[in-house]
Amino acid sequence: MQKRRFPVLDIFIIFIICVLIMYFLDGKKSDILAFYSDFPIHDISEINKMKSRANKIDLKDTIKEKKKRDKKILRKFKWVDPGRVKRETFFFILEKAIKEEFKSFGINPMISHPLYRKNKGFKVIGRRDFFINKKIVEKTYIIIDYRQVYERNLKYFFDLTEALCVSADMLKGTDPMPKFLAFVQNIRFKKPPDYYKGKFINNFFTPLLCIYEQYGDCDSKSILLAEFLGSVQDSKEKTAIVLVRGNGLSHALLAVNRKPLPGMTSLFDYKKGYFIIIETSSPGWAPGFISKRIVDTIKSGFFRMIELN
Amino acid sequence: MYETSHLELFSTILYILLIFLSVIISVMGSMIIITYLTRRTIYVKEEIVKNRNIGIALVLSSFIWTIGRMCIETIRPIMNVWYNTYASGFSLKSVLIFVLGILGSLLIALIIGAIIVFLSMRILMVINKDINEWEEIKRGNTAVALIISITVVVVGMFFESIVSNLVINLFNF
Repeated sequence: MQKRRFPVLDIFIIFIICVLIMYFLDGKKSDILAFYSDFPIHDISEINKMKSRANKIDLKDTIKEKKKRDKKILRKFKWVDPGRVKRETFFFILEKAIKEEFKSFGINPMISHPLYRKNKGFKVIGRRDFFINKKIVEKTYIIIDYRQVYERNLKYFFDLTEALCVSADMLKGTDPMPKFLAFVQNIRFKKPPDYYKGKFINNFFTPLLCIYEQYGDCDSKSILLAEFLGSVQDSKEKTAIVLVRGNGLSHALLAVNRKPLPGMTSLFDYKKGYFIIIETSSPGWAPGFISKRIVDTIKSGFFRMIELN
Repeated sequence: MYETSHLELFSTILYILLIFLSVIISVMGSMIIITYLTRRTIYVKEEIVKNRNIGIALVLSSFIWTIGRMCIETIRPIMNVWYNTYASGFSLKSVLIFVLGILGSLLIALIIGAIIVFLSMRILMVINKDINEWEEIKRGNTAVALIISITVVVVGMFFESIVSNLVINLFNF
């Protein structure tokens, strides 16, 4: 009897044929293995692969996005506190916050719609018609909406104020005003440009931009101090900005709702009480002390007070 | 810190003290200056009390007014420094510097007041060379006294703000 040999070759050929069939059927095992077309069966390994691929992509993207989002800009300030101690303060500002601030403040002067201006941090305070070239042309007068700017920037300032408190060695329960004032007064005084990154900003830097650019003018610095005072823990400070215009002067000061002490200059509001006036432009002025010329202008009534909170 | 009651008390005491110092310096300084300017030919007290010389009284009061205004102009810068010093905390050195600053500021006010009085008197004397003002005043010429006192007061008014700025720049201790 002829001995039958084990069909290795046949099995191999069948296996190859099976592989080829599988290959020609787009390699989708599910199509073959499916019992029921409405109930697709997916290969677990493929799903895992897909998942891991997706995860990898997501992770990379999120890390990138997070990196972009969390990218911080360092700003270093050197200043002298009221006790003549030299101090250094480091602020880490989120790039995203800066970009948001760029977007939300500044207008295109060609667009005169009040709502657009309102959304971009300005408000119309008056209109006047002019007769130019046999046509009536309306001119609008706008000012910066300081209150809106103050309220919008407050969210960025909780961390920054904390950093300032730490660098100034401020103890709990002490009045932060003198040190905050000294810090703001030591920031370089320079008038911001009319146009900043293609937008009309009316020579005003919002507080965050003031920190970012490391300079500012009277109104920019006044609002900056208001932000610091308003974002201290448990702060109940009522602040207002005083715009002085007259007697050849154009200046801005901060007013804080506090009781004036002997020698201090203050404004009195019959509803809110006394507001002491604070000079933020140059170092050396204590709260309630301003130049005599400005006092004279305020006494003459050439000022406008805008409450911030 | 700025709202504590003891700061208010100390500040008020300092403010009143400065006003008193200003009054004392202006009265004393005026007496000294008028004695120096008249070269001791007029006994001021005697003229005012015994002879009731209104002219001398007018000139002396204009001197007091001018120097007093100068001294009062120094109070605001001193108070400014006081609040800054208080905020930073006191040390023996800072207190000493502060006291010296007060004295220095008031001395500057007195010196500038004296210079202004002297200058305005000299201007009048140069303009009216043929009149001996002090002799006229001693005789009881009220008109001359009035002109002199008004000149001193007006020149003093122009220089008031200078004193304040000078003190701020010199004694921003």
